[in-house]
Amino acid sequence: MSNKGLIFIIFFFLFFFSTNLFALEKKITEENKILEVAVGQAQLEVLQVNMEHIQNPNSKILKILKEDLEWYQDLLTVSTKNPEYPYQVKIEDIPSRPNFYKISLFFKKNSLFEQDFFLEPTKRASIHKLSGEIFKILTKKEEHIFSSQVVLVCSTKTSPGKQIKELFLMDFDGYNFKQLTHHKGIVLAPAFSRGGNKILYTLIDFSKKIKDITLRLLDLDTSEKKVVSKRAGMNFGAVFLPGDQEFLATLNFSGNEEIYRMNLRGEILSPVTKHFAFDGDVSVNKTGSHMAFLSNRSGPAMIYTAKVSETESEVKIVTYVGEFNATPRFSPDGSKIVFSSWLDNAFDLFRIDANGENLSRLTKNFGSNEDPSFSPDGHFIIFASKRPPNSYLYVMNKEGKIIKDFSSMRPLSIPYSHCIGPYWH
Amino acid sequence: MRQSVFFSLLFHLLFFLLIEGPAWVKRRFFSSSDISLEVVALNSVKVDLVGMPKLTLEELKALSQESLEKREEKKTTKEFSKEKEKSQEKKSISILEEAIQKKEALKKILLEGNKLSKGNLLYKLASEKETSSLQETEYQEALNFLVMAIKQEWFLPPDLIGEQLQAKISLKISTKGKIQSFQLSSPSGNKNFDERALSSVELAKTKVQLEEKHQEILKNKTIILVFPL
Repeated sequence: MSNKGLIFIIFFFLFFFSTNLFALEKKITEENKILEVAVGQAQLEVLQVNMEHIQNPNSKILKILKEDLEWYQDLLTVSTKNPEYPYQVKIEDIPSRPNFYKISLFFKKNSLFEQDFFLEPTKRASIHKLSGEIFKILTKKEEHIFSSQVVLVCSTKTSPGKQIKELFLMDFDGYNFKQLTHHKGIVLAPAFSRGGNKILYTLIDFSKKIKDITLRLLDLDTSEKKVVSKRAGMNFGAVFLPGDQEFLATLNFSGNEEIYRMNLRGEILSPVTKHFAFDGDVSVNKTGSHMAFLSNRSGPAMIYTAKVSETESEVKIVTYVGEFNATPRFSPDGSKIVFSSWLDNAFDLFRIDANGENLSRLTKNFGSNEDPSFSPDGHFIIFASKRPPNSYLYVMNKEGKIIKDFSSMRPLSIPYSHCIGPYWH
Repeated sequence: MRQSVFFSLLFHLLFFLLIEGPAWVKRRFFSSSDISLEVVALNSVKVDLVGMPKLTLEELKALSQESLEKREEKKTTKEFSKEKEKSQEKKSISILEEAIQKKEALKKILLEGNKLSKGNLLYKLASEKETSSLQETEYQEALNFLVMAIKQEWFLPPDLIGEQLQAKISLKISTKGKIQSFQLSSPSGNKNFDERALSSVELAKTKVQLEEKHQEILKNKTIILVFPL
């Protein structure tokens, strides 16, 4: 055979095999495509917990402990009558030490925890502390609500034609409800400091001839109150920045509402927004790096985020829809924003990721819902549900399931039935 | 020599056309849903919103659960209809089926309205030219249904929540739209974690029954489930 013939045959076979291999590979790939799909984070399995006070099955300690843990009903099933549950909490009196109790926690008879606790059944705070310890051991979650408080604004006695709203404080469960101010004006938009010992709020004072809208600071340790900003126009909606020495507030002394960075002496450190549109209703994330705020710079009022440290920096629109959006509030980790939006003749609450994804509706056919505020652990949202002439407070979990109804709870019912602006810390 | 090279090339060209031609014609003119999936994109793709979601998360959860239950019911209805067809009661059954399908379709629209507003696509199609929004929705539906059924059974005890573990389970969908087989393809290193992941697929196995249009999309495909991601 000639060289030419040999080359032809080699060429022929090489081409033939390569073509067929290509076709075969393509056929295999077509039929067996591999799809990789993320399942996502697992949910915590619902833990079944039984609790018993050995010497006193009807003890107040047991009752409060059960009430506390039942807030996390999506994580825990709590019983006092089910010894078959895998998790067992036992409370035992210590006769030699009054008000001391031995607390033991077992998982299938294996001891997880054992400690003596000083508990005063009349003081709920000591039992809340125990709830927190048990919750942490059960769920491995460090954050919880059992030592948290809510500052809020409620109507007090009103004279004809005159409305009075004062500042109040309560524990997360509605107990220890107490009045903090007696301005006889209208208190609005309270906000806790990060340390929980200061509150910034707005006061509309009708005692003066010119309507006076000032920003005030209340020190809970000393009960001292002082004016931090009384510039012309509105001084409104302040929120603390980390460190509790600075805050953001909405002022309109320039003729237009802008957000400013200020210190507790009331000095303006820098403008954070500078736009001809309305900018206000601010909320800050945990690190203080970014804020969520309301602005009508694109037409209807929408939620935006922006960098706090510079003016008009990294301004991003978060919501593109909604007739009128309001009260954006960051979750503690800064990943989500809850806000109210006008829909079907009422405000309803919605949740959206801080990057503008995963818009979800939380309330529907449940009055007009406003003023949401995340719990310190981000698991719950407290909000005001307006049913004229009243406004009641409710708590839902972050998925929108109602967990707590304060409407029938004294003293949050009558006469303090018009409560708004809760801020949870 | 030149002549033989020319004939060789011509011969191979004809040979290639003979193999690939019919497949190309089928893909180009007759196939509406047989689109290859090549690229896996796990990042979210933003979908522009057209309105605020009408359903709450609680309603969506209830609807998703109901949707799974309905599929079971629908399957039973179909089996029932086959028997009835044999006994010459075709008309009444088809009306019943149509009514169920219409109701299902309506719920799907509501469900999708909210899902779209979440802006998540778990995959990306190989060739955008060959896809339409309807086909994308069908792929999304098929995968969402599968993942949703598994996610509902995906629970971990407290000591494993937050652990940086990842397991992969590969599964095959049968031509009848069921989970045919599955196996741990990449263990996490934690036996309990792997068992929980496998258990979630096992528990979902009985619930997964893909619709006919989704069967076509996922049949003979290997799906790797990544727990969690």
